[in-house]
Amino acid sequence: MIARAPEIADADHATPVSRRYELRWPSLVYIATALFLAVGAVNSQNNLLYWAFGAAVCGVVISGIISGGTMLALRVSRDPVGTPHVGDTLSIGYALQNRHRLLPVFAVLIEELGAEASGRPKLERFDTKPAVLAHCSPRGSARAQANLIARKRGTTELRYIRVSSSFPFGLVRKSVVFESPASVLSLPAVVGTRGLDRRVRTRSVRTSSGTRATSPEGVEFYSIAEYTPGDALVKIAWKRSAALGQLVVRRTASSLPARPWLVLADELADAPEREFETAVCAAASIAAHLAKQGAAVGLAAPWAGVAVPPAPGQRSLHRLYKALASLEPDATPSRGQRGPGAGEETITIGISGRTGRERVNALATESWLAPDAQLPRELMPEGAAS
Amino acid sequence: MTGRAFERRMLLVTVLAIVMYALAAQSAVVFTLGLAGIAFGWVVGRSRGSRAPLPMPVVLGLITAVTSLALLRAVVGEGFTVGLFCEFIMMLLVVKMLDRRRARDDAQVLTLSVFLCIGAILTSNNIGVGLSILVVVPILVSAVLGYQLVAAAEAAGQTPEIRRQKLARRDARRIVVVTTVAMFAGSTLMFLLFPRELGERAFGSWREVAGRSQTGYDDEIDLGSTGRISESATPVFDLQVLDRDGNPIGAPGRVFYLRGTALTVYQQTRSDGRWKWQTERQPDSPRRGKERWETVAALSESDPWEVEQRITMRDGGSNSAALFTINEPMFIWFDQTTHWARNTSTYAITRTPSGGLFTDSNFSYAVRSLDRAAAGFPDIDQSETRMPLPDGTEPQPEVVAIAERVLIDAGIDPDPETRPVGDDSAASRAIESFLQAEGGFRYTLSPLPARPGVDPTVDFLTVTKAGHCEYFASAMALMCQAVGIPARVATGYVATEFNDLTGHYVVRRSNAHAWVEVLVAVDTSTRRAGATPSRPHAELWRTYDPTPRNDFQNLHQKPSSWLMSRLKSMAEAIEFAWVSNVVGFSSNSQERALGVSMIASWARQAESRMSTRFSARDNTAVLRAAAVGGLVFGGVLAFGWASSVLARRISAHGLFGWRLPAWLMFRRRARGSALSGLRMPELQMAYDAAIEFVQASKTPGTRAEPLAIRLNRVLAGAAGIPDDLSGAARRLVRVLYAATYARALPDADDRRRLVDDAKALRAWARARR
Repeated sequence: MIARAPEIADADHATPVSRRYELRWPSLVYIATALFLAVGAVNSQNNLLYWAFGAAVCGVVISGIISGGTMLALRVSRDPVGTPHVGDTLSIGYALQNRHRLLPVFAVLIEELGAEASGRPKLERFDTKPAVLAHCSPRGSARAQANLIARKRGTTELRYIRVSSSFPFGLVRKSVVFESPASVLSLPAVVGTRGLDRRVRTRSVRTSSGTRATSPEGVEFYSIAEYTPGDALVKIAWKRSAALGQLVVRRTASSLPARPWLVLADELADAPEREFETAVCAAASIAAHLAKQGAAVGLAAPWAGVAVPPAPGQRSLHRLYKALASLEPDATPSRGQRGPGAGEETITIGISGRTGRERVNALATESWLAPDAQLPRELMPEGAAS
Repeated sequence: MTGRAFERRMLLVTVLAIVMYALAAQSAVVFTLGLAGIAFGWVVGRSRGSRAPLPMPVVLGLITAVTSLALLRAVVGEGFTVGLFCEFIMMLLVVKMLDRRRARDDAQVLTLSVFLCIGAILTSNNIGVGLSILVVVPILVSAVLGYQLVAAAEAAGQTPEIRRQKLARRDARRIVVVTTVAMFAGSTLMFLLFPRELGERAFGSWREVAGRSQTGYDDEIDLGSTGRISESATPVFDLQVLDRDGNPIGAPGRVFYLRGTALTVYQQTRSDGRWKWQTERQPDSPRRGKERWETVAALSESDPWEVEQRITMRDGGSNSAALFTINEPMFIWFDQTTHWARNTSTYAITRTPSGGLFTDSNFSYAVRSLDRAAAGFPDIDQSETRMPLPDGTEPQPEVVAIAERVLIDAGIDPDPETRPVGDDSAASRAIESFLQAEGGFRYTLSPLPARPGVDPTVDFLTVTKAGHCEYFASAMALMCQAVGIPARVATGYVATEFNDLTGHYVVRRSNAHAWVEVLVAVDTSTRRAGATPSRPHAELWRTYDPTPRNDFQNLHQKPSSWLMSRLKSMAEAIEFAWVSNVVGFSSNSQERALGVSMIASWARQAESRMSTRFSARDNTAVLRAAAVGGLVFGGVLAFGWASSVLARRISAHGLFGWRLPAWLMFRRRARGSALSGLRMPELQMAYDAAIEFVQASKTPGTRAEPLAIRLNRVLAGAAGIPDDLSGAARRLVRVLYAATYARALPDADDRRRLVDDAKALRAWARARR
């Protein structure tokens, strides 16, 4: 993904901290071939072999001039990074500037190294693929974009960016490491809501204050609305439609709790990682669904001292996600966090006596994530996607 | 450049590599089969809609089979040769064409193509190979650069596409052109300046031995065997003939005979007649000659000479080979250090094998000789008795009868006892003209086999009367000997094809020839080298060619139109320039072209020292050189490691980015200009607020950071502050990013909010401070 970008000011780009020349297999083959040519030329006085050896030597020199000159003249800056959910693609934009007056830049790879300035790219919570910059003119600038897939919730430190290229002949991979500190918070995965909707409609919700046989969409008549394609046929108010001369459907008032608390049960503190992560994912998914239905969702994990009071809106939901993203099983409870009060509606997420993934949610949310509700494979916590 | 464009270039490089090798090997079979194989791989690889139509086990099986076949041929059959290596590479290319799954496979195809090009250079340095290099290099450079794009895109899981970007295409073209020109310039510089003769022939042999089929020349004559005469028009060497003043004396229609060896002994078997060297006189032990006129006939350099020949062999070969000279050579000059030997009887000169890993693709030498027969014989002592015939010479009755009849018909006494020595020349002339015209003999390349038990020469003289030059030469030599005239058969080439554009002769395989040398007198003024008491003086041999010249030329030189003839002359002139100036470029040429003797002399000194060390089995110098080289290499590695570690340490302590105050100021101005260029005070205010926010939220005393890092810090810091302030920080960062990197200015509402946000952030920062 390449796009032109305006020039970057000196102060805007990341700071280069090191550069490295890495010999690769092709370079060894190249050196061996060049030596072979030299031996052949010297031994046989074959003039074309002298010429070929000269071409091989020139290849090295030209490669050094082109790649060295351009890589040292390259500057990079990273765009602000977002907060992806696990399973989402995080697109990181880079603005690159080629300060060389004569030489263009081709085939540059841009990789996030994480907290270490050397070694292979290692972002524990992401599947990484480098961004590629196909071309940047002399004294020009360009943009590139890397797409990382979030694999695990939590905070990842993005500190070093490696810009590398083996252009023009692939003999040596030249790389420059830039320091550009940033962090990215991976939010918990949110399971697709379609299946969740269906289950919510058909199952009951049990809360700590008792069991209520109700549906999230409710049964109480709320209003009549114009039929839109996709509305269920059973919702059509036929008599009213006949009177009005157009199809109308019945709308029912939601019976969801207006300000529910999602409570992560205490036993999760000692749960294996797999169950713990699934529970976090379930909490995030339920919160997303409830918020979509208009509820103000709160989060409480008393064993970790986490309490996010119910509040309407996306910002509040995002705060809940962030709390879930930062949640660790061995967190130390802090004082002063106010959890659900008496009489407030709660949805507790815990562990059932069953085995495997189905253990999660069985306390109170068995109906929310039924045993057949398989999380997408790529959303499973590491090591649990068996 | 797209993936498809890269593939097209890769295919072109592969095809050109095969063409280059076919030109080097001069093989239509290689050309046809190679291109057919590549076309098959290319078409089949695409026709199935997949880049790799063959499963991996099949591909591995094919590669194993190809490798096994090559090894089998190398071990059991012909040994490891360049030809075998190139054929192996070609087969691998075809297999890899069917197995292009990733960009890496394309790189392997390119690498194999380069190897094939190197194999072509090892095979031959003809002008076809040279022109192919001119074409291959730019396309190869373009393909390799394209590969880097494809490989990078593959690593990022994207599709390479710069074709639609006009600027990128222009830059790519420039890079290809600049790289190609630089490579040509640099390699030409290397070609010109690299010291020649340093380490020459330091390794073993690694080429196909040039057999008789390659040159058309043989140093033996075996009458009765077939297929010995080559009709190939492939050039063997180029010849320039000069007089004492350095003026060319070649001309259209003027013919020169270049002898490679002289055969003195005729052996008759049941149905074969074989001319061989005189066995009792062994060649001298080999000598090394270089850059000075070596005496062949043990004459002083002041002795007169008449003709200088400069000969450039097209294919030097690595085995023992004859050197061709006009008449008997007196002095010889080698452009390269050459081990050579002379036959003390015939003065035939031979290059002796010294072992070499590679072919001597270029080899040139000059010979000065005296055509005494043409120049007259000022000091001939004709009173001496005739020299005796070689031992074992037993004239056959049929030959004696025919020779005597010829001489009697010419009015010359056939009896050697009574005939004056001065009549030997006329007698030889009579025999020559008998064979050429009067005897009714016919030239043919397909002589009939001799009757069982009958000597082929006798059969030729008495029955068939048809044969090629070897039959005519053998017949004349035997007839001369039959009447007591010392005669021998000379084999070599006859130079007839004169190029008036360059003033040189092109000598081809089909010009291989045999003729007769007759001893007409003894020069008593000169004592010969390796003289024996029985033969103390120089012998004067005269050349006679009994082969009917018209028949010979009609068979070997096809008539062509004037236009074709001119075109051919021009092509040969170009080829001669190529061979003389490129293929035959030597240390002497280096000195002549550059006027620099330093390189050559240094190379000679180094070579001499190395030779002395090696010959004395003193490895101290080698070990010392290896130790010094190892130390230097290790030092470079250690320096690289230490510098990288040092840089890392300095970087860790924050010194890497240390800059002068002036530079800092410049940076500050540059940063300001990035925003002030937008002419919006709200942005500058927001920026300053962000800076204050960062300064307040991070450790005091740390150095300034680029804007992007600061904005990221704002975002990171926003997480730990009250909600309303956090939202303000995020909005502010978003606006600053959009303005800085996308030049997207906020609208009026956003500007108002931006000012409010900046104020809030600044207030928080000041309060915190």
